[in-house]
Amino acid sequence: MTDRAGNGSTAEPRYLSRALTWLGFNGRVLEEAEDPTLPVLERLRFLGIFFSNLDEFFMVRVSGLREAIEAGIDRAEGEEAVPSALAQIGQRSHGMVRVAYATYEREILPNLEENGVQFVRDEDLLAQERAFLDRLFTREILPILTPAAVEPELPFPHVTNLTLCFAIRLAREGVGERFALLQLPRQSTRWIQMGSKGGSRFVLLEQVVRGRLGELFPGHEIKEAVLFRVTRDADFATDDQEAEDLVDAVKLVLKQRRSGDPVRLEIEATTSDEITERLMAAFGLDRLSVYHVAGPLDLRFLIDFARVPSLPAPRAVAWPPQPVPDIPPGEAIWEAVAQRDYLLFHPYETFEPVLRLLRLASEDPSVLAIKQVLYRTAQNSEVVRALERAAENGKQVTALLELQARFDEERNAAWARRLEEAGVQVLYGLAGLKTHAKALLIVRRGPAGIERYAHLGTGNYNERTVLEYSDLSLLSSNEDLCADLTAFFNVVTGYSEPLPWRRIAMAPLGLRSRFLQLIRREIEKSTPEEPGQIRAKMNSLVDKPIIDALYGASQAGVRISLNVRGACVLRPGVKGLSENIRVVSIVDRFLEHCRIFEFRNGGDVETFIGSADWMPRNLDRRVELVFPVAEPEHKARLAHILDVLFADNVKARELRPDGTLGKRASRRRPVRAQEVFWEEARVRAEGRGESDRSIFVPLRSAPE
Amino acid sequence: MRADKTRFPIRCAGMDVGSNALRLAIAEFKSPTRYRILERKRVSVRLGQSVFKTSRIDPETLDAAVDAFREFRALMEQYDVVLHRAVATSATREAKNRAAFLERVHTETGIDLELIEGTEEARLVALGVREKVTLRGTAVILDVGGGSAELALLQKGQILLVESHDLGTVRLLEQVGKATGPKLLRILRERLRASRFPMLESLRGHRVSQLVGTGGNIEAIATLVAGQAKNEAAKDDTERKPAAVPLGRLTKLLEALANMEPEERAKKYDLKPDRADVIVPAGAIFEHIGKRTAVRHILVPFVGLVDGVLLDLARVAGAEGKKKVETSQTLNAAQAVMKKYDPDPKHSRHVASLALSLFDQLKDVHQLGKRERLLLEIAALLHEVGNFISGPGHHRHAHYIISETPILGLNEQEVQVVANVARYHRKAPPDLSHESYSALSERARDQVRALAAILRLADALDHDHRQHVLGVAAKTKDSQLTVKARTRGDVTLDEWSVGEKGGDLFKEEFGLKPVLKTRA
Amino acid sequence: MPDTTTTTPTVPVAVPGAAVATHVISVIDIGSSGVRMLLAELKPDGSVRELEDVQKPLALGRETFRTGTLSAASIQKSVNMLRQYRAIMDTYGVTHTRAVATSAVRAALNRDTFVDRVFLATGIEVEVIEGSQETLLTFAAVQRALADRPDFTSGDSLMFELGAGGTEWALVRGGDVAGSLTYELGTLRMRDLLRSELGDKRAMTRLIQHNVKEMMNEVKRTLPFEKVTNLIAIGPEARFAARALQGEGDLAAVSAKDLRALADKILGMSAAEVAAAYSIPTPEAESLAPAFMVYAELIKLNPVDRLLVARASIRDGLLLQVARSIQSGSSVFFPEQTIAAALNLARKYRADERHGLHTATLARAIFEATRAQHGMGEGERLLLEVASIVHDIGNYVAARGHHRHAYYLLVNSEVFGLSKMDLEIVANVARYHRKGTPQSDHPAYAALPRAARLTVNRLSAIIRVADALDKAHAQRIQNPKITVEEGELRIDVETAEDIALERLTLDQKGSLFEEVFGLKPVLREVTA
Repeated sequence: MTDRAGNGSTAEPRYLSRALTWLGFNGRVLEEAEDPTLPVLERLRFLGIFFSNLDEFFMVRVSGLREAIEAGIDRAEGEEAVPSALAQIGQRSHGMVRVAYATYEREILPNLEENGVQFVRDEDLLAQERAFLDRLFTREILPILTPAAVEPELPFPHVTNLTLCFAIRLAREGVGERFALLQLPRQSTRWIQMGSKGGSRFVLLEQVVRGRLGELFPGHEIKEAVLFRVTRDADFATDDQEAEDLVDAVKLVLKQRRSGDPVRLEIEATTSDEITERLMAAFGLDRLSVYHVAGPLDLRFLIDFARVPSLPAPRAVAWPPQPVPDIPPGEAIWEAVAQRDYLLFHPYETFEPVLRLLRLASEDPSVLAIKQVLYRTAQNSEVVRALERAAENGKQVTALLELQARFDEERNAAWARRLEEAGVQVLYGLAGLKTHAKALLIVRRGPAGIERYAHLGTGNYNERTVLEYSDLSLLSSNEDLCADLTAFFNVVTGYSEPLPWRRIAMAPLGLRSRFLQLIRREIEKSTPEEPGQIRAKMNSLVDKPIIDALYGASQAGVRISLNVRGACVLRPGVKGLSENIRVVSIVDRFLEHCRIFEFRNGGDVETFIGSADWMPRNLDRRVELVFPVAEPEHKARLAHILDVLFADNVKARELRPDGTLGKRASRRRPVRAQEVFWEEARVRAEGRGESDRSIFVPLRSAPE
Repeated sequence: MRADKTRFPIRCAGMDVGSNALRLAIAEFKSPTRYRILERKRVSVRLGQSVFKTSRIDPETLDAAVDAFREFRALMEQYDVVLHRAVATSATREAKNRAAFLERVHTETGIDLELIEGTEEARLVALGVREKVTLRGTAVILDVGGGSAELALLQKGQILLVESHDLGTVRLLEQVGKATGPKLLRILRERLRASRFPMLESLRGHRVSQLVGTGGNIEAIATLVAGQAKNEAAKDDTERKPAAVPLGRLTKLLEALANMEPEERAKKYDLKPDRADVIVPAGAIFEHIGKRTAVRHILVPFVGLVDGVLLDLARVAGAEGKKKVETSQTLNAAQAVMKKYDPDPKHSRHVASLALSLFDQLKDVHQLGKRERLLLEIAALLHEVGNFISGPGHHRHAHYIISETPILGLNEQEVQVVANVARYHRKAPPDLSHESYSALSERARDQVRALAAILRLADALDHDHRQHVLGVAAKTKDSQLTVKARTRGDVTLDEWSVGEKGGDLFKEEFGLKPVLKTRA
Repeated sequence: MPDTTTTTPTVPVAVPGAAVATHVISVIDIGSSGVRMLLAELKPDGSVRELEDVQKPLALGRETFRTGTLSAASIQKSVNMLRQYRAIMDTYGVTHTRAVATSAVRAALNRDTFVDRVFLATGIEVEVIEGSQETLLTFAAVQRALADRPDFTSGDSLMFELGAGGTEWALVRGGDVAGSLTYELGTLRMRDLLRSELGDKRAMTRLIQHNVKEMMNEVKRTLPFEKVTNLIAIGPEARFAARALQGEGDLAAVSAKDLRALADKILGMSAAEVAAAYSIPTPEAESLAPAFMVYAELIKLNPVDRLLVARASIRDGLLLQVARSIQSGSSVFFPEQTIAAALNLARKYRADERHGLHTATLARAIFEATRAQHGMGEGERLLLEVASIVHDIGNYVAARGHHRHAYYLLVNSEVFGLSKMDLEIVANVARYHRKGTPQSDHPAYAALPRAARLTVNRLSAIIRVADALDKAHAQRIQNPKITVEEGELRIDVETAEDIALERLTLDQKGSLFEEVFGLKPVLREVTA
């Protein structure tokens, strides 16, 4: 493989397929689910994540590619040809889905049963359980079921995206065969726990319905009833999984027309060819888009199911967020932040100081103003309540909401109104630009004059994700940073046009060029004796200009280590192109979410953190903030974090020149980055000081 | 009063309304320059006194003046005078009711009294002087009247600059008030030291070879200095040889005079009372200028304004050739003004030559005469002077400067025409809503529009101030004026400006659209 | 004149929480391409800390320079912006505000409506200031920014701002302003010129070369300098160039070559593209190319190899001024420079400098001695000194009526640090230094607002006396002792010399003083 990529690099396209590398990432998630060393509920969770990722992937990415074909666009410069890409995606998805279900059926379910958690088959139901389900069905389910007859001369009834639906063949004396559809209610939970005595016996919703279809079609004979699920082209114009460049261009053209078209059909393995063909015809899908599933459809529910507290099955050892000892308690935090910057590493370190600062600000009479970007904020979050209080206490409160934040529309809309009523100035971002930056600014009148406090980070102000995503954030009262942030808010609130920044860089205003400039500088300062070095961590890497710059840097001898969680179009380790670039991806308990950019700069290291990935979307169509970390101590810490991440040989995978991920052969003792970070946080919390912070790292330089 | 060729000999009359007296001189010319005085009359009417006090000519004085003119009129008839010219100077100029005065003189005597600028006054004086004495090198002529003192600067007989100061004798007396004796003289001297004489400053090193004094006062002084105590108003003034008054003697006499009361002076030196008082301030002025110009003595040719008027008259009557002399003098004056305000007049000179060339080629289009040609040339030479004050609105500044800096040889109306033409060399075209334009006579406005149109075109041809258009050939064909330009280098800009700005007024005025054809 | 009457400190507003520890100042500048606000905090130690810097593009200039008025829409837009700014100001509890409008509003016929609308809607009092004041303020900022640069304080520096409506010039000698002028050529007019030439690069260049040459000639005519050692540009276009050409620091240097290249690059793009590419407001984008071509020309026309770009803006100047007035109670900027500019004007018109200065000295003495009578401030005193220095310049045009000429020359001149109104006053005072006294049937005088007319009366009365005291231009009345006693303004002077002329002239010209102040000026010789 590597050889082929090596000498045959000319034959190889310059870039990897975004879709395939992303699939690779999801494959990693699946790997976790397959990992027998993990507690079963943890595996369950990963399996759920795998499927929910996959759904999203089909809705946006695959549909995009299909549209590309229809629009006659074949390949973009240096890219995989679209049809072949689609073909490969098909194959790999099918493969992964098979593996996923195999894992579920053959490993996870039995494992659960051993631990007393059981999905009961109809025949194994106890009498009172069946009675319970009968009542449940007639009282709560039946009323909300509406079958739809499929008449040859009428248009095929609409089947909602991602909902479970029965396809039913009916027969009746004389009349002959008929065909009907029955959608399952979306809202009601998938699993039903039986027995009031809190036992761990469960059945799935579709199971309850299937057994009682007769009641819906009196006088009919049910010849066949199979569950299927259709995935449609979802129109998330500016969403996370949005298609990029070429595909994106097409999307813009075809969006209106194409939106809602079926892209995938999941159907039970047992389904007859007759129904299969009927549905394929109805949804205009080819064989490749049909997935015969050996097990329950739509396993996303496992994410929530794994959270059910009563389950007796083993869970992962909790890694509760640790307090940050050098931030003093209570009001003293003002003084402390006024004195120095604090770099926080979540969720290993608690988010509490940030929330506290906000809470204090909302009450402190000398606070004049609070400005904050709220992106994907949990509803009824403490953040929102604090802002409400602040406004009620007569402070100038500005909240920039991001309504496009996927799936949050309805919720946002609701509490947005509440905020407005409380007197908060609520803004809904800039037209066409999604505000992805994460920033908080507090203006306070102290005895010596105006004081400003800033909180900037890589993660959202969302108490839930704060516990599940690994993010970095900075508490600071640095003059330049605060000045920039002030200006930033004036820009995003439309009070001012952008002015030259003191320190931060902002997308879409010259963030890319700033990065390109930093890369160029690295090349200039790179010498054979002292090669330049770039180390960066992000969620996705798909921006061609930056990738080309990185290729250039690699060829100029700059050593480049990239930690990319998801899609990565950069083709690493190819002779004459990118032999000095290595890309690793980490999938572990916490979703790797922070963005770090470190440039050696001839010894005078410069390190940035922020909200932006190296993706055209982030650099061109989003408001993103990236800022330099000034404190040497903090730079050192970030360097350490990168060391650890690149030292990881447990959860990390190396991206191969062919775009596949491979385990990293290492003779060293295992290093699991997230575990190291949590241990360190704990040690600091226990006050064992910072001196021995890096005891868990084998060596400073990343291993070969 | 233009007259066609006249046969000599011819009898002319000149009249001058000063602030002290009205004068008449009737002479017979054998040629435009050779003449014999037949009659002189001086009527003492102190216009000045009332004007400088109340800035009006009081009724009695006015009646007296009109009576004097009746007398003159009668004399002229006795001598069957063919040509006459009557000029009024500062006192009248400053009288608020001058219009009424001129009007009455005209209706009651038929004499067309002409108001002249101090500079025109100086020029006329200079004319008279030149006929009497030959001027060498740099000469200054100082004419002291009751209301003003006029200075003229001449180079080899050619007038370069003229300057008018409100240092009239009567005016000065008004100012020094009741002061008498040595104190009077001291104050006068101080007062003079205080006033500025830009002309003299502009000399910078050029030494003045001659200082010529004219006017009744210096003549009286000359007479006194010469010791011949005879009435200065003798008829045979023209026969009197020019006299030289040494500065030392002047000062002595001046101090002597200052020490007496006017009455004493009149008695002791046999001076008319209206002379006896003003002679001191007058003397002081001559003394001051004498010192400033560092001359040894003051030359007194015993000619005055009237003689100038007479000569001018004869000249007008005489050959056109003579006219050229004046024209060139007028141009000199204009050039002097131009140099004062426009350090780098290349452009202005070039525009002037282009304008004249267009003017001559378009005779049948504009049908204007020699005089307008002169006005156009001057306007062209001065159209940039406003820049000295400031770039913005420099066309308006040009108008201001020109109308405030009288150019000898141009009467008030002509000055206004030039000022307006210069003003309209750019920006808004002539419009009756512009005061200075609407104030002009119908005819003057026609001149302004026509000349401005030509000037604009010429200016456009050198819009980039690089003198790239060497010459022009203008052809009119139906409604188009084709301007063939001989050029060096590149003239896109000029084409642009001819099209964009130069043409509009021209088209409006002559119904011809200018089109530029260039050939390098 | 930039004195207390023009600064409008708002009443300190109640501040939530802690007592006012510092002054919070906001300065607003309504320009021809945008509305900008600078909000800063004045520390007790006099240092100024910037808190907010907001600006929004608004092409007021394009409108007024074409149509002569501001459309209702634009006025509304401005009002909305200023409402937002007001909100920011309120957040901080701003204690002092100064809002100025420059060329765009200045040129608008309905400027009063604009000012009024803004006031009613936001409570912000907008003051329309003149070009020379802009230069003054910007200069103040630049001087502060460059105070420590010897290469700036030594030799002659030409500082200019190529604005939308016109170009402001200031000659800086030894760190002081030796003169200034406004030239009507601005980027907007430049752009309109170019419109007719777009496409024809050569013609465009020629057009610009020509206009810039004319401008430079005017500058040379007006500003007395031998050799320019620094050419300093101010303004958004210049700052943009500095940024685009990787200039650093307070004085970025850019070369003609780079400027031309940049201009070419930008000419190749549409204004919208430029705006997008460099993330700047479109109106600004449109003025870039012409501006750079002008810069390049200016470098060529001067003995310099590069253009220095100062970062400071008019807002910094305003900030400085407000800070000054808070700290020292006075905000007359650079009286020395204004005097210097007046002297240059006097020299330009070959007026007797010694007489002018002496008249000024005497006038100041009288002014000080009669403060109780006239109650005028240092702003007026500055006007009096300027008028004294230039009162005779009219002689250059013609000795006769030179007072009228002085008036004309002055109202058509620029005197550094003086507004148009200031100049009107100075011109009237010069006009009345002799001959007729102020009369309501003199249009120029009658046209003045009442306050100004009173100032003219008072100052004319003083200057007449002062002028009389040096009638002989011999500076014989040296440090007189001036007192007000028994209805007399007593001017006692120890002198051996004879001052009869002065006394006499005083008798004639002192009447106005007596009218205005009810004091008879008497000159008395006290023998030592």
